[in-house]
Amino acid sequence: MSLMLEYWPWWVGALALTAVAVGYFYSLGLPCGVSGVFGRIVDWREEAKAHQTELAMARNAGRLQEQMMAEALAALQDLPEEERRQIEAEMRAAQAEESTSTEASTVVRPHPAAQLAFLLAIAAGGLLAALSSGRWQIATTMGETYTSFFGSGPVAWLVLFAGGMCVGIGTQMAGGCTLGHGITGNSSLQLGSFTATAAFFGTAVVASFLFMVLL
Amino acid sequence: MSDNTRNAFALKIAFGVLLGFSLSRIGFSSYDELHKMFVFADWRMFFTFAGALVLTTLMFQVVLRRRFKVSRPIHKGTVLGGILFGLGWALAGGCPSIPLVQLGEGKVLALFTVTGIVAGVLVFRFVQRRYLRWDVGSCSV
Amino acid sequence: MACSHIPTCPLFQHFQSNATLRSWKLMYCDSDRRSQNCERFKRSEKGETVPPNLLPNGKTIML
Repeated sequence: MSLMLEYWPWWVGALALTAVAVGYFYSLGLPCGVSGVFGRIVDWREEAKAHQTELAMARNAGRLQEQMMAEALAALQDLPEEERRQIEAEMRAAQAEESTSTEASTVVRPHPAAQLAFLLAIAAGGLLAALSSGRWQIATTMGETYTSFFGSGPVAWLVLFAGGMCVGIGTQMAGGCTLGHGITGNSSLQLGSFTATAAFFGTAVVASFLFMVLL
Repeated sequence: MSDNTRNAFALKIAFGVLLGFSLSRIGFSSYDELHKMFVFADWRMFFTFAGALVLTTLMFQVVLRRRFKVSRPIHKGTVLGGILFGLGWALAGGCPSIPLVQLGEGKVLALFTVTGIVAGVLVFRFVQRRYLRWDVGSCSV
Repeated sequence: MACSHIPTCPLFQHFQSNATLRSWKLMYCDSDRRSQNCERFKRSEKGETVPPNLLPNGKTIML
């Protein structure tokens, strides 16, 4: 079946990516993204601790709220008289109105080990794809186009490293990547994602043309 | 590990495999194909992305409405970060998932890319903590 | 303008539950100026991992 050997037609790919983006969010409660995962793995110990804490918070919601209430009352006492009166007035007003319940998300952040598993699974997916389409091979080249631009020696490796650094810095700075901003963010109609997507797509296009012309 | 965490673990792996598989079969892990997309020589991958975007938007906004909105306001790093990422994409091939897919496919040079990404993340962390102090949009990242 | 981190703050969801808890929101989340005082906000700007049980006034909830 040609679907197995050649690159997928656009609509097959579109369906697949949609399935991942929506399915992930639906079943895990967290948006699908890869750049954030790298960030959290780098902070392994802190993330593991935060995971445990969030787990405890989710399991002891009652005690959590009790303490928060006690601390709130204590914090109120520390405020300057005028501010305290103002806030207490607002609290009374709030008591009178209907409580608007925002949907409490009790999604606990993943343990960094699960994040790492995600990344490895992506690599495994690539492995399976290559094997099933007969394209798997150990390759020390990134293809014709790449080689025509950057050669096949240490310069090419350096370019890959530098490009990787740009991706690492850029995605952390912008807060997302092609999936996080490009698909999930844009489909949630977020201004930040529109902007980021325009920026990275535009830059990639310009850069690619420049490479073609200059290299 | 509680039952829930074990399920989440399995789901992440399943989706990870699906994602990597799809990216590879679409051609996002091929520099040749990416370049063709960026210079408008071949619109196939562009339509793949656009199609996924339209479908996902439909799903989030219309079909599954209430639960599914993420928050991504513009902040200081949005534009510059986007530009840097775009440059990195054109140089090394893309969304941080791509070099992982490439490694799975046997493209060993992707190791340089991954190392670069990790280095970039560390560099940004350092600069952010010492000098920039930019709002990254969330206290839960 | 309310604090920009509200959509992803693990504590904010609790601030809606009753009037006493809502005081946290009134003290820290409701305006740009007030959110600058929030310890969570301050630490996230520094790029640190913010402990999920850190209250806006810097105290930690014991569980």
